[in-house]
Amino acid sequence: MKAPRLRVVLPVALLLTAAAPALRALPGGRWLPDPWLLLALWAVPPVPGAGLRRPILLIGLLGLLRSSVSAASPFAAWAGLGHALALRSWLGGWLVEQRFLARCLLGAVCALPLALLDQAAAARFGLALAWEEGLVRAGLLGILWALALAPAPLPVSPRPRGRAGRWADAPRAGGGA
Amino acid sequence: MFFLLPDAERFRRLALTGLLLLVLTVLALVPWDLPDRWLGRGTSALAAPLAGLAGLAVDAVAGRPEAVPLLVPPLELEVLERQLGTPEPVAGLRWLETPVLEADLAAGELHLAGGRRHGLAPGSPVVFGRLWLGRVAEAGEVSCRALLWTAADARTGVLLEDAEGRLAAVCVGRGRDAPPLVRWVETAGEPRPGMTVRWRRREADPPELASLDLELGVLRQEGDPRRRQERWVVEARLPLGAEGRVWVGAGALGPEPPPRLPLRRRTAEPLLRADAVLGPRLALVRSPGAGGALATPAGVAGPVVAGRGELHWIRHRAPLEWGEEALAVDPASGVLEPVSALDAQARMRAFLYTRGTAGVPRGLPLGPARAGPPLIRGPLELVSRAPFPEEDAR
Repeated sequence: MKAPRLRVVLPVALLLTAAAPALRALPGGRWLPDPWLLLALWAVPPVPGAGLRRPILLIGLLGLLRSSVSAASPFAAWAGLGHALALRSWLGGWLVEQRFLARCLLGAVCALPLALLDQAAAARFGLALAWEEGLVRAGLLGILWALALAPAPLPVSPRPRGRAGRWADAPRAGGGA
Repeated sequence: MFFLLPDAERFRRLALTGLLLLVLTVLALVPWDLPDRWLGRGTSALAAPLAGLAGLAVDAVAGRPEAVPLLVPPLELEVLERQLGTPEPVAGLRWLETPVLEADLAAGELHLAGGRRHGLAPGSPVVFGRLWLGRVAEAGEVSCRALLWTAADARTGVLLEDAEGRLAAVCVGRGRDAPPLVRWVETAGEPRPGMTVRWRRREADPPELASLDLELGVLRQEGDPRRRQERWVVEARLPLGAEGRVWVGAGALGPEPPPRLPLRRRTAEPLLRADAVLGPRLALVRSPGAGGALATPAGVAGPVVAGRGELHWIRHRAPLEWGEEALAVDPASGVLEPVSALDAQARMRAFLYTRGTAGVPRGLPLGPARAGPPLIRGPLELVSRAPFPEEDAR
């Protein structure tokens, strides 16, 4: 998958940051997945052999944006987003990303470290953030990621040139009008 | 990231990423505010306009809060504490009203905002109304440390009294977790459960002090007498008012009376009424102040839980949600009690104040117990206690 350009990612990130508290304040908004995590998974595709510069830059930026509209520490955001990308990179090699369920599971697992760090931040501020909230956020993120980032279909191997193929494709010997 | 690279390069990147993530996770989990505050100071200039924009979006979605009526507390907590705690005058002794800087109940100590300059000296009696609290153990120039009679190993001479007689004994403190023991009871009689335990004066104390009949608590028996395991203990509790101010007996007055605890008030501007991750129970304000609590015209909205530069996150609470960090006052009877002791009827008429914990000054009005969280609207202030001299040296 091709990485989106930074000039696209940045305005989207700013827009999401400005809208995120309003979305969270909506009825049922507490179940919504973390928008910065979704954005990080989209903006840093798992390109084999790619450098660390772009992921670090994007995680740094998204973490700062997240902490500008949340009491949760920017360190929690950086650690959570970093763990998510590392997990995706590690687990992506084991799972076949062509399958919807596998992508969904991978997205949910990637969201778990950030959910755990958010739980810790909530406990520190004396807030009761239910465990199921973190799990539902992770699950929804997995589903959204699986839906939005469906990879291109695998290339189809050329048809085997067996006897049947030859018979089917080739004009019949001596045939014709 | 880690595919198709030579092994050495791959491991180098893996180790670097792992180390970075470990450091970030530790910084995220350890409750250490300094890196967050340090980082926040640099980034608050970027965060403030973004949070303001997000605040406008929240207002558009959830609606702007309505105008709120001004909260008028039925009385000041300070006035009530004075009503409950002022002892009767004693000849040869002057009672000095001294604010409490910190009540360390685990150590059985009160740190008081008065010292040698105000006439307080080691050995001075510390009381609250008709209750004996202890003595000044150590006095600095402007602050002092009083040892409560319940502190571990603190010994206090007592009189056990009821209608049938009076016995002298000695009380030995056992700290916060166990009631003080009564030992060395005079052999003239037997102690009885329910006897009133009164303070007994030392030879060096003014004789008039004994006329106050200062109380410590009520005698109770513990253990099984059939196994000869019985022991006498005193049932007592530090009055809630004594966490705010106490009265110290001084033989000679200093050049000035003990000061009132100074408060620092800074104006605050609301930015955001909901947290994008943790939900609508956190609100963001901008103020040059630091720490403390956010005061609104409708009462204190909540304590500051995180501060980054000029941006402060407030945990938005209803008065009853302050729990043990609040004090309840019944305006009709003037009784001061913890919120956990309120029954359904008392909740209908109780008025709550901050208790003075975790950086929030004592005595700020929270509102009626039945009220919801105060709206963050109108002129706002970040209120904190100004640092007291000698406090940092402790």
